[in-house]
Amino acid sequence: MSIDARNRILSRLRAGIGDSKPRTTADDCGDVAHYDWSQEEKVRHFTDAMTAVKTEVHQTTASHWPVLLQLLLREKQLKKLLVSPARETGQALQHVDEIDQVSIPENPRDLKDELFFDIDASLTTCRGAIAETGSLVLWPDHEEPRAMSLVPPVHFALLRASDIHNTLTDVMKAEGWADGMPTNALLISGPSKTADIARILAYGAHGPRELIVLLIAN
Amino acid sequence: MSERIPLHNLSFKERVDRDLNDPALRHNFREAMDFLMDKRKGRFTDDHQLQLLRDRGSSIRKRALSKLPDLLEQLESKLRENGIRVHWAETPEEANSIVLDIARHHGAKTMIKGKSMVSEETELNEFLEHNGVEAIEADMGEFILQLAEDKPSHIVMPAIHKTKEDIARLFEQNLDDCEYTEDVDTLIQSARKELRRRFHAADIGLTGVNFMVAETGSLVLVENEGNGRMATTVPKVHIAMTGIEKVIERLDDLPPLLTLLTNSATGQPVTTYVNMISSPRKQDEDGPEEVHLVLLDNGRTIPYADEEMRQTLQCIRCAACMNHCPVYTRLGGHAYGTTYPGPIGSILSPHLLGLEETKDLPSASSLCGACGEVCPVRIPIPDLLRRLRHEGVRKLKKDEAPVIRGHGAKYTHTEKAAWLSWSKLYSSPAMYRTFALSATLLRGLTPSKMKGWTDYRTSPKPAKKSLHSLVKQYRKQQDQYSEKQAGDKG
Ligand code: SF4
Repeated sequence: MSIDARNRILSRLRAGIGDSKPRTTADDCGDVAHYDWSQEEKVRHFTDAMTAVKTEVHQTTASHWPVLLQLLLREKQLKKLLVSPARETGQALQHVDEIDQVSIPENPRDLKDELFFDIDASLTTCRGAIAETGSLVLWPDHEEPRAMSLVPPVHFALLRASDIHNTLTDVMKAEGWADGMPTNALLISGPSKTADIARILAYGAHGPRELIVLLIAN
Repeated sequence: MSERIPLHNLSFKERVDRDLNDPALRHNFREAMDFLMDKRKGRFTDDHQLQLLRDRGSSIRKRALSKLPDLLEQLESKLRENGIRVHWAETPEEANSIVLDIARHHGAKTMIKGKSMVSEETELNEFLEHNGVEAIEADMGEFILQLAEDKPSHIVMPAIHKTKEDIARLFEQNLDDCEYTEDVDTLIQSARKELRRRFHAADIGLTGVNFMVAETGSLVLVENEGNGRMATTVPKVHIAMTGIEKVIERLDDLPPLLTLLTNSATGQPVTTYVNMISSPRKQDEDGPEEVHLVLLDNGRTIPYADEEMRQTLQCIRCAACMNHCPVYTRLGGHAYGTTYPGPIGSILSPHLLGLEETKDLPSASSLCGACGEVCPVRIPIPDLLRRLRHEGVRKLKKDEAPVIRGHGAKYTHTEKAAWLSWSKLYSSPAMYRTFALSATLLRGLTPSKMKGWTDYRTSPKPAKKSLHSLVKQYRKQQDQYSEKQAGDKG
C-alpha cells in the first residue's frame, strides 16, 4: 500500500510541475541580517538576549566556576546534581565533595526513574552558543544524553565565551553541519515556558523551569 | 461551553451567527490578537530588513516547491540512510492506519503527543481511541482542549478561546489533587505533574514537524514548552507526522525560515527549543530506538499542479495571517469549521476538503489585504481567495483539468443570469442610460426590506439624480460660467 501511495504521490507531483523550471539558489532574492560583532559584543548580545527570557547568566572563570556553582546550588536549595564524569564538568567536580553528584551511567537509559523523580538539577557543557538569539548549542550524546538538559527542573550550562558565534548560520557554516548532522542537535534559548493559559507566561512547562549559564570569560 | 451544539451540525452561517453573538469570545479574541500583533511588531522594527528577509523566505519556499518530488526522494533516501523509516499516505485514513500499525507492532497502549496540526487534520486521536490506543495530548493548549473535548481555534495557540476560569474548573474536575485556582503557575505545575507521569509511561511519542531538511535528512521541531522534546526523547518509538510540502532543500535554508516563523508567530527571536532530529538513537545514546516519518498528501498534490495555487504550499504555519485578520479576530477559529482557520485556512481547506464543503470560506474575507502584507513567505493570500471565489462559480470547460475538487460548487443559474444581464447592461451605453433613468424615476418603489441587506443597514435607495447626470449638469454650469467670464472681459 505504502509503496503505491508513494509512487502515486510522486507521479502526481511530477505531472504537476508542468513546464515550470526548477529554481536554484541563484534565483534567491532578499537577504538575512549580518553581524560583525567583536568578542565583547557577542558576549553582550548573548547575555542580553538570554536574560530577556529569564535565563541567569553568570560571568566566571575556568578556575572559579565550581565555587560559584556550589553557591548557586545552596542558594537555590538544590541537592542532587547530575553530571557527566567523562566531561570537563564532571572532572572538575571530581573532588568537590560538598556537591551531591549523580553520574551519568554507562547506559544513560538506566537512569530513567531517578532522572524523572529524584534529580534536582543537571550541569552540561555546550558545544557553542549564538549571540543574535541568545541560544545554547548542544549536541547530546551518550556522555551527556538528551534527557539531561530536559528532565531535571534546573539546568546549569557551562559555556566558554570564545564559543559564542554571531548567528545560527555562522555556527552551521563554521562547523560544517551540512556534512553530517548528529542524532540530535539542539538550540536551547531559555527555560521551558508556556503562555497557553490566557497568554500568561508560566515557566517550567515540561522542561527545566530555570536555566543558568556559567559563562567562562577568556 | 459544553452545552453548545457540535460544530459540524451547524451550517457556516449558523456558526458565524453563534460566535458573533458571543461577546465574551469576541472580547477574548480581540485582546489576544492585539497582543500577538504587538509582539510581532515589537520584533520587526527595521522594515527594510524585514522585507529583505521575507524575500529570502519566499525564495526558499518557492525553490523547494519547484523541485518538490526530487527533494522528497532525496529526503527519503537521506532519512533511510540515517535509519529513519518513511511512510507515505494519500489520505488521512491511510496516515492513521500507518500510525496504528506501528502502535500494534509494538503492542503500544498509550501514545503521548507533541503538537501536531496534521494529526488534527486526520483526526488521529479519535481513530486511535476507537482502536484501543490512548492518545494523550501533551502541549498545554492541546491538553486543555482534550480535557474539554474541544478543538483548537488557533494553529499556534490552540486554547486561546479558553479563559483562566474555564481552565481552572476543568483541572479541578479532571486532575488528581488539583483544587480550583486561577493561579496560572499552579495550574501549569498540576498539568506538568500529570503529564510527566504520562511521559514516563508512554510507549510511543508522536509529533508534528516544522521543517524537513532534504540535504541532511533532518526533522526540525520548534517549541517553547518541551513537550516535543519529551515526546521525541523519552518513549521507545517516535512517530513524526507531516504534510509533503514541509521539506526544504538545504540546511542553510533553515535559519531564515526559523527567524521568520518565530518572530511572526509570537514575536520571539527564537523559541525556547529548536530540536533537530536526524536519526534514531545510536549505541549507548538515549532517545527513541525507532523513528518513523509519515508523509501526508491529503489533496496537497492538487494545488501543486497550478502555479498560482501552489503558493498556498509555501506556508510555514506561523498564524500571522489570522492574528492580523479582522474577520478572524471577530469570529475566532471555530466558526470556520475546519482544522486550519483564518486566511490560511480559507485558501488551504478548499484543497484538503474540496470546494463543496468549503465554498463559503473564500468569501469569508473582506479582502483588506492584511494577511498578504504580513505573510513571512509572501503568499498572496488575497489573490488566492479571489481565485478560489472564481473557481467556485466557474463550470469547467470540456477537457479542462480540474485545479480543485468541487469546481463551481457555488455556481447558481440565478447568479450567473444576474451577472450576465449586468455585463450586458454595463457594456451598452444606451441600455445603461435607460436603466439609470428608470432607477432614479422609480426610486420611490425601492422595497424597504431586502433580505440579508436590511438586517443591519438601511435599504439602498437610488439617488434622485445619477452621477452621470450630475456630472453633465456640473460641466454645463462650468461652461456657462466661463462663457460669462469671457463675455465680461470682452
Ligand atoms: S499563510 Fe503566511 S501568514 Fe498565514 S500561517 Fe502561512 S506563513 Fe503564516
